[in-house]
Amino acid sequence: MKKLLFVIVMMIVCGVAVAGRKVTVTAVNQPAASVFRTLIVQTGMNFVYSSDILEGVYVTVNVRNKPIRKVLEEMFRDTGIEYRIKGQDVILRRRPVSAAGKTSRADAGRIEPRRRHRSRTVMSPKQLDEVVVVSRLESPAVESAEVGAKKLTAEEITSTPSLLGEADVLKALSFQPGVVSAGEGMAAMHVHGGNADENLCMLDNVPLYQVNHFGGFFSSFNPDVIRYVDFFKSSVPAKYDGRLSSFLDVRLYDNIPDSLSGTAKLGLTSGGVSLRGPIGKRTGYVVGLRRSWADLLTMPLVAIANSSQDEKIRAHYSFMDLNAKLIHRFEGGSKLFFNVYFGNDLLKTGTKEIYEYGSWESEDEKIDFHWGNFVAQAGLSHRFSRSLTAEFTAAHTRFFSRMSYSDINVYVNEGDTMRTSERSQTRNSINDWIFRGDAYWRPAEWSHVRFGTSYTRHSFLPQRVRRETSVDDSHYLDRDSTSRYGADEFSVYAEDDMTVSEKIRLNGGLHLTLFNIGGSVRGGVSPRLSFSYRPSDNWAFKGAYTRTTQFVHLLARSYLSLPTDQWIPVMGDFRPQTADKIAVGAYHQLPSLGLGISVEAYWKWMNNLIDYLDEYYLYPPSEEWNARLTSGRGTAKGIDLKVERTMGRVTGHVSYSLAWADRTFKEKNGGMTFPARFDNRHTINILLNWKISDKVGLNAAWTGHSGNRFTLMPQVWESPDFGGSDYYGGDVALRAPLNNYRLPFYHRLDLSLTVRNRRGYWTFGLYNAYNHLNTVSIRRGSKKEYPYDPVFQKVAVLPMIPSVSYTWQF
Amino acid sequence: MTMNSIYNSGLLRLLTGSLAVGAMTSCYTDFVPDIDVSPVLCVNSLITAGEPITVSVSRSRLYIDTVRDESSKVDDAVVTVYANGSAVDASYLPAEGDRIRIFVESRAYGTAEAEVTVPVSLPAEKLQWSATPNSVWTHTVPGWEMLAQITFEVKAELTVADPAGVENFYKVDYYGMLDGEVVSGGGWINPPEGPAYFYPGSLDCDYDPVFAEHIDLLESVSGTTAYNFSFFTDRTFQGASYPLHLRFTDMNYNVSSMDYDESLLDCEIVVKLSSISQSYYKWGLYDWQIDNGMLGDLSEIGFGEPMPGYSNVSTGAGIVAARSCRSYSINLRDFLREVIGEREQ
Repeated sequence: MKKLLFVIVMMIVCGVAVAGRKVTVTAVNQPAASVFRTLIVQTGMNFVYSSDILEGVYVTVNVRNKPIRKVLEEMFRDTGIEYRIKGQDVILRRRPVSAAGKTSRADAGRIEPRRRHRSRTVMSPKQLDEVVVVSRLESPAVESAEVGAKKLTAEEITSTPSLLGEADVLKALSFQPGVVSAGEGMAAMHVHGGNADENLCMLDNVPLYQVNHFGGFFSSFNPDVIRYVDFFKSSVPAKYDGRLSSFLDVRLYDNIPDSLSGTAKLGLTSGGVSLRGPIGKRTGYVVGLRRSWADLLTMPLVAIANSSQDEKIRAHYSFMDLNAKLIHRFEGGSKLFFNVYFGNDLLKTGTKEIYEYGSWESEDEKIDFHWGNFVAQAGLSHRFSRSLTAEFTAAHTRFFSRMSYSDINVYVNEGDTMRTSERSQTRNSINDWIFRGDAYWRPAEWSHVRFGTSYTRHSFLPQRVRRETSVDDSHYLDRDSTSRYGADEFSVYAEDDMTVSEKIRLNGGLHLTLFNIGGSVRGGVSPRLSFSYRPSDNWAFKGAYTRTTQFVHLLARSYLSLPTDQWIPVMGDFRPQTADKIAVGAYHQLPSLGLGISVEAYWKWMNNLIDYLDEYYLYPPSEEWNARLTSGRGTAKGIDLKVERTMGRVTGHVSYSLAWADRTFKEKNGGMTFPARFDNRHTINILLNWKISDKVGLNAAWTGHSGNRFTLMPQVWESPDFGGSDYYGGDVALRAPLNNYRLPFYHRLDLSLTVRNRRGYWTFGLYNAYNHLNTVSIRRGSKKEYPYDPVFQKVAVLPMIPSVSYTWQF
Repeated sequence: MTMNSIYNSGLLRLLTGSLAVGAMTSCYTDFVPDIDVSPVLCVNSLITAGEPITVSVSRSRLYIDTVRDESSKVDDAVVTVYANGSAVDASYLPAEGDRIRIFVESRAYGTAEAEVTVPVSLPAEKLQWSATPNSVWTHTVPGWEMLAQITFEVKAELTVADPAGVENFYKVDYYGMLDGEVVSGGGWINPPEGPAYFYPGSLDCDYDPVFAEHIDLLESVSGTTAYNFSFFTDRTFQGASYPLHLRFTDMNYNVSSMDYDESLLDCEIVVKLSSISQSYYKWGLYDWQIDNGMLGDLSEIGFGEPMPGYSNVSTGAGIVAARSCRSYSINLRDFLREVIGEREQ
């Protein structure tokens, strides 16, 4: 309460003086939030508003050396938004609607005199809950209590240059310190030395298991419908558990806009449409559809190619994402919402060949892959009292992967016809039914309590294989195997975010989980503790201890993200994976320069890590999963340094990470500790957004990091000659210590240029702008000029790739 | 493995979409890694019950060495073979159940050792077979010349009784015989071009699912077969009788003789059922994976973890395996006579 009063007094004192400051600003059809940055630089004021009211609000303003009041008047004319200047803050809100349904302008745009302020600025608790400070001058890292947390806005995502111009949440995050991309052009990420499956990706708090398209080059999150992304990598709210490294909650728009707005985008690889609009006064919707369209281009090319040859090829690839969300707000503040997401990839290949040499023979081979996610969610958010709000959610999330292969041969000779066919079908899926309740309780001004519970029914189908052959009328079922597991996960959590004093905040929480599979119950106890000490406005020191527990893990056999990767629950003698992490940080802000500086250090211990045995490929798939796995431990430690500028024409950040990560498995590498694959010692990221003019913006992202670790086997031995067909004859690789070789330093510059016009904007992109071919792997090959001379070869994948897209806004 | 064979194996076809960008633009650059290595001894031996033991000793070398044989040579190796704990000499014939340990010492490259137990052979309870002609062409000039070309396949059911309580590994091999001579890759009576020719075709390892139990999800759907993989385990029939289905396809018998008589039809297939050591099975599996499997393909093109060779030798180089074999004969004389006779009528 003291703090609130202090703020109010300061606002009153500063009110008139600030309002008199003069500014110069020009913006044409710009997002309102981006204009605030200019105003903040020139006035030092803060902007306080509910984060949803500026969504889709574009403003045009052209003033020179005018009081800020004039600027705000011009900016928000006919937008349905009103402002109040209180001290150092500009507070925005939707203009109240009168009983007759007309906008009341009685107080809009007024600077409150000091005396009147006292009675009007004391907001009710209800109002306080709804107001979110988004655009403060202060660095969020200084203000918040968390260590290693990041709220990524939609604008930040779209302004980060990316491969083929496809704005991508995961790739944008990969520029954050402590995060490394899984591979060249890949969307998957590794956080603080963890594995790719240790990141929990959620869409509106519902887990998604397969978050990639196209083998990992694009993520499943359509940026056009994203409101913001919460990312936690060090201190994690008690609400989240189930993964070791990080938690990523992608939040879709959930406000009710005043009018219909949307975008239509056409890029090199995909196009999309998004719409947001109201249905009546209390209901709103958001719909987003994104689809790759390369198949539309290749279709006629394939047809042309097939028209002139006996061998017909079949090639089709496409992916799509469909998001739809409906929100209804009841009087009194309750909210009902429905959310659906469907994303899939479709790959079809094959050939059809016909031979005629006296006899007639045809071979028709088809391979079809279809995989994706489906999420359906319904929720009700209700305010029970001024201090207690709760949200109840029921959700279904499904990952599916279906693959089929068929090879049909028809042989006709002298009237006799022989028909043989071979068909294989495999399925791989996860079905989760989730029921959860999350509550926010504010028992006192200094205490913010969050608690909740959830139950998830998991149904894992890691593999169903059916293989059959037929010769004329004879039919054989070669294989029909299924492995299916059901599991129940029950969890409760509670945390209290306490403002102990003006300088000290303390957050303590606990997440408890019971995981039942086949009657065997495993428990997870994940305590959380963090504190923040803020000796002055511009300094903060924080510390956190976090334990996370993971009950499912991913079995992947390649560096790509393939639909055949299988999520498996912890079973048998294996125990849940756990990570204990201690993180500390120091944060400083320089408001006059708009700079925030942070240094965070972490130390992480991971136990019961699960990985493949060295020779797991020598176990047949019929063997229990666990037979191919082993358990071990790992450590990760490092320092993340970041200098960030959030205001002015040039914004962005420069970050440096120094990190170590290793693994120790009794049954791997002879029991010796070995470096993790993503043991990237040095990582430097530079992300710059330069607003050249109101219409033109240049974004540049440079990343450089020590190469990934790789197991290079320099020696070979003579293969045995056991006679007959057993003689392999080639060289056999001699086992070498795991991840014994560091790939060359990786570095790349991506650029994008955004040019606005009245209707929308063009985005021109350049991935790998200086065309540096980074080594992503090493293979055994042979010299081009001497094919029998063996040689090691560096594998580079992506050169400079330009892109262009146009986004139409309406 | 060449890029062409990778393509044929189905992997690239399967990943066409997901690798399209990479495949179009990928670039390989030759280089010599700066990494210290020490050569180690390599020991290879396949011990067969009832036959003398031979041991091959070499050493590991750099993958990029172009003078391979010279680089692998070991001049000062001393090999000692132990059977059930006692050193034995070159005349020793291992028996089923013997525990054989091979110890190799070299002043230049250190020591290497491996141990294996000679498995107990498995008698087949029953062998049933049938042969089916696929195409038959005959031409006879009475008293002058007999010409016949027959392609056919043979299906056999070999019932094995698996011993309970232990995990067993098996391998099926076969060869053809013509007039008492082995003709594995096809051959004539009185080569090079005698009056009769027999080609024993190939064993269709996809005919019985036990040969394909190592084929994984992605391999299965990409049409990868158990091609040439004639190893199997008792995982699916442990301790029970199992009718092992064998199919020999594309067999070919030709005769072209002015002095045709039924002695020219003296063809047979000899099926060899071996009980093998686990090391032999794992070696076979590695061999298949690196050549035909998904993991081998991924590691070959740099998108998967490299696969080191399987070894049960202490240095990680070489295989010491063991087997005990039993053979079963399928005599095709009556079948061929019947087919030719039917045509003659």
